[in-house]
Amino acid sequence: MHFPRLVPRAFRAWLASAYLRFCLTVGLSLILVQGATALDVGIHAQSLQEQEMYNIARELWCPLCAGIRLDACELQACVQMREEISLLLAEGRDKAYIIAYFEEQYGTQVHGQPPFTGIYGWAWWTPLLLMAAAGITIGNRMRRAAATRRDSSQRTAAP
Amino acid sequence: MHAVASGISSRKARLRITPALVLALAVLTLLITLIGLVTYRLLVDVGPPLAVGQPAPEFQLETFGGERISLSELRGQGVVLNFWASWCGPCRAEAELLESAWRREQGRGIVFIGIAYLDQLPAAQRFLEEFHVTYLNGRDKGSHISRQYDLLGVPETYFIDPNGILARQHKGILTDPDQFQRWLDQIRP
Repeated sequence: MHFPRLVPRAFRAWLASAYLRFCLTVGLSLILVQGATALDVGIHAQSLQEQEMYNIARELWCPLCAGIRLDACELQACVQMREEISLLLAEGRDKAYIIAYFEEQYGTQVHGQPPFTGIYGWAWWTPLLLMAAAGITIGNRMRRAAATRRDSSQRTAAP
Repeated sequence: MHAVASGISSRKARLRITPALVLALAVLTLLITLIGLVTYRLLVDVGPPLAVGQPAPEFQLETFGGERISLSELRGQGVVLNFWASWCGPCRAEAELLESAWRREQGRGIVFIGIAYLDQLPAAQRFLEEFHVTYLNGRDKGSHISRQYDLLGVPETYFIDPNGILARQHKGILTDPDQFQRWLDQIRP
């Protein structure tokens, strides 16, 4: 490093060491920032997969407990089931595959809802049918009541 | 008299068959039929109650090695059916007893079958490796076998004689090797 002759020798030495410290600080800071970013990306990726695992576990139920969701269950079996979901996700399996796999392994009760197909599908259709029947009944009653009102008003209006 | 007649006619009017009533009755019938069907399905899956001295329920199992076995194929040999799970502490305690008995009994007319109940593949495989289990083992997919055997929990062990008759059921951990040996002798062909 070259300094003009006007600058005293002691000051030059101080300036050189200050410059060196500055370079070292900037260099180390850059390395640290780079490392922290890489670490953050790793943690973020890990938490994303964990989040996905919990999203799937939230739709499944503990097969050993009564009414406890898989994401909230603390049993060793549930911990292992969550581990199995993570492994399947790491293999590239999607949510639909994992849920179907769990239904095959542990029975349909592991899924929080009955399947749409087969005999259990009626669990979905029956309330809809009942609602439709109730709607038709109410509609008929209202129409009949309106007709009766109309008839009676016509009778009253007639001389 | 007139009052009575009017009462009857009003009751008749209340019980008038309307399309809505027919529809409601149809839906109710459908609902009752469905409940009956679902209950029937559940009963069919559970099967008749399990009892010692009666034929052991038939089952098919896919082993961890991919082999398919059924109970009827093993007629002529005694069968020890052990339900276990990797998450079950007592199952770990009896694993060594079962494996050592199997190594001793191999080729003497008794077959050991392990059935993993509500277990997870990686954890179940780790369990088998940890205890060096060499007898046939598989997962009870859909818990069909467990339901047929009225499983209350794990571990449970069933002893089936060479004629396919359930000779003994043991709910809980196997602790006494001598007692276990006596039970094996009961199902030896």
